[in-house]
Amino acid sequence: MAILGFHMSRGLSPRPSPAERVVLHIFPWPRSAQDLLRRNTLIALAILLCSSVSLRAQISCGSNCEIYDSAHYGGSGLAAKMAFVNAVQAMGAPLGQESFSPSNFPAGPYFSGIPLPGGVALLANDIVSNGPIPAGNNAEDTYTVMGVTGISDLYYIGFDFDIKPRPNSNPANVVVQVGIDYDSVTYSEPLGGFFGVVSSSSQPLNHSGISVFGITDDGASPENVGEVYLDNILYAGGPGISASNPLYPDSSSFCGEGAPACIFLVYIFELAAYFDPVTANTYIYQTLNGALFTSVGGFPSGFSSPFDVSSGGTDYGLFGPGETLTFPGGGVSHFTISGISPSVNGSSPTAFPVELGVNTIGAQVEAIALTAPQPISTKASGLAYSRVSQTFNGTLTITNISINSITGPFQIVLIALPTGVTVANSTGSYFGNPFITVPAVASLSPGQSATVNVQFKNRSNAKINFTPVVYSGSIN
Amino acid sequence: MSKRASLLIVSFLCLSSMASAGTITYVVTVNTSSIAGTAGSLDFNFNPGPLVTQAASLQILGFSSDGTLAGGATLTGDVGGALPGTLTSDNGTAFNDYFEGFTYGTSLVFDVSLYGPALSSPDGTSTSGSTFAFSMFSDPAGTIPVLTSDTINGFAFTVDVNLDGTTTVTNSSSETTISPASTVPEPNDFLLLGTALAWWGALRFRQQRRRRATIS
Repeated sequence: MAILGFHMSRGLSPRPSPAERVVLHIFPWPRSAQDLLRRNTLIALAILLCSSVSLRAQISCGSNCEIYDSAHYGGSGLAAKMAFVNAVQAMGAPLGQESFSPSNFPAGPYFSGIPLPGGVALLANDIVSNGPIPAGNNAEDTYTVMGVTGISDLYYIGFDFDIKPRPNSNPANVVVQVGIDYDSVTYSEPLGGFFGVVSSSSQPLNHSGISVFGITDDGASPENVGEVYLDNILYAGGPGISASNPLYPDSSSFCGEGAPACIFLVYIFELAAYFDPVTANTYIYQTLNGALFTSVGGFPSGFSSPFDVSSGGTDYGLFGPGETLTFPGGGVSHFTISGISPSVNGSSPTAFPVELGVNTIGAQVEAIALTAPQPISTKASGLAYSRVSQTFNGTLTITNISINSITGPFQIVLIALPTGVTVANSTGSYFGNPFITVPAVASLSPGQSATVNVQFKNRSNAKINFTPVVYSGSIN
Repeated sequence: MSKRASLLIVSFLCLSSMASAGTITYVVTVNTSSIAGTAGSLDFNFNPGPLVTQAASLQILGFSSDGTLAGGATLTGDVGGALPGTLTSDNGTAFNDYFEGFTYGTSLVFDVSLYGPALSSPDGTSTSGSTFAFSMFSDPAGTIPVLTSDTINGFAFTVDVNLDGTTTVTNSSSETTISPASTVPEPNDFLLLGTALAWWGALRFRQQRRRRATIS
């Protein structure tokens, strides 16, 4: 049994009423609503007794499990998540990830009660948002956020949670309960973080199921119930664990008809995950939140030649099935896989999955699939450094190399800029990539060119490079 | 002289003439009389572009002025040498820069020589050129540009190495004249020429010895 200390963050603040609490439970699935109500009443009483003092308590989750949560590890929950992932990986167990929100909380969409793949089923009444309880209802209320039933070998599960502040702005606690003993972890608002639980192999977590509840009762009418959200659920069998079950982009809406490139985003909450973007003959992968790629491997078979991997002007050579490239120096923020021949068919969900190693749990990864051929070429001048503006200055020249006229305006998106290099005169940002609008060019006839100035900030004097993608028409 | 040896010598001579064909040199003259006595600074940088860039090199030659160099120049990237001697730079790193304090006299003269594969044999596949920039400042820290109409970036003039091996000069300084110089052979050209001549001389000497031996 693992016993972990935690700090009850409510501290010496005024004693809250039972209504000021929102509770998340993970415990054996109750046999009846009455059973549930009885249990939660006990929980509420326990909170009432404990929440007015600052103390370090111990929790347990049965005799064979450990809890990894924000209350113990602090911060936003990333440290807890890292510990959880490490624990699962130490068991040699697979870990998939089910994400519902491209930008994480609070934008949504979130878990919506759709049955998870991999044998994890969710209850029909799973909800992500509880509206105010109807007037006159002063009873304690329990709301199921997630339930897991139907499997007999669930040994670990983790998830991000977020309890949105309630309309009455009163402080509230959230209690996560684990196991049949109802040991609890108390959080104070802002009620966001990570919760994970790992059982030993001898005793699965679920006796008859696992559920997560939100409970609240402010003793007033109408009740103000916190909204409970879950996201990035980590469990065995989730997407990302194999080439046949890869992580999919959060959205494919960034790939319009005739667009020169498709941009896809995904958050990776594992240290290695299979990610399958879309069809193309060249993919550019980059992180958007400071994480680094540590490796790329798991290249698919069935292609006529190996794939070329490069990053920042460095060509790492050709790689094929069964080979893995470990990037030197701790990793790279972006890399390109080119030479995919024949071009992959994006209608297949497993067309071109690769295994991406990242150094940070929660890495936001963007994959840009370049369609070929590109109708507009981009060339650049050298970059003269100005001590006055402290920028590297040059020009970008685009040329219509197709046989048809192309209507403007033209936007040059600068993809995969090195870390620390920014565009000082960018027009805006396109999914994390700066772009520059070529001024006063209504259209380009075949062979016609247009030039625009570009200025880079580059305090570390890193080699400036990027992949240009030219969009015709407005991209915002 | 055998036909094979003659062919070799001719090849060497051709190579040396080809190498010098890609070198472009500009003579730069700046009238600094309006700021004579000002303790300022000079900046030379030669950098690649942000896409695929072919190798190119640069030399600053024949620097002369009645002004005074401050010494203790700051060199960044692939830059070697010290003024008033020859500066050599290539475009191998993102920022190749020579910066030195300078008290202006009445004039400033130097040559800018650009050479290398990007000028002598453009590969047709590169997508970025390289750019040389020269700036003058009226302060030792290099923050206040002088003798230029480019108040935003402070460049007196720039020279772009284009993708077809040509160059483009942009002069923002009315006090500066930039004129192409006649082609000057590179050091490598002299080496090739010298080798060819030495070989030719050795073969002549050997032939004469044989002839004498045959006569005697």
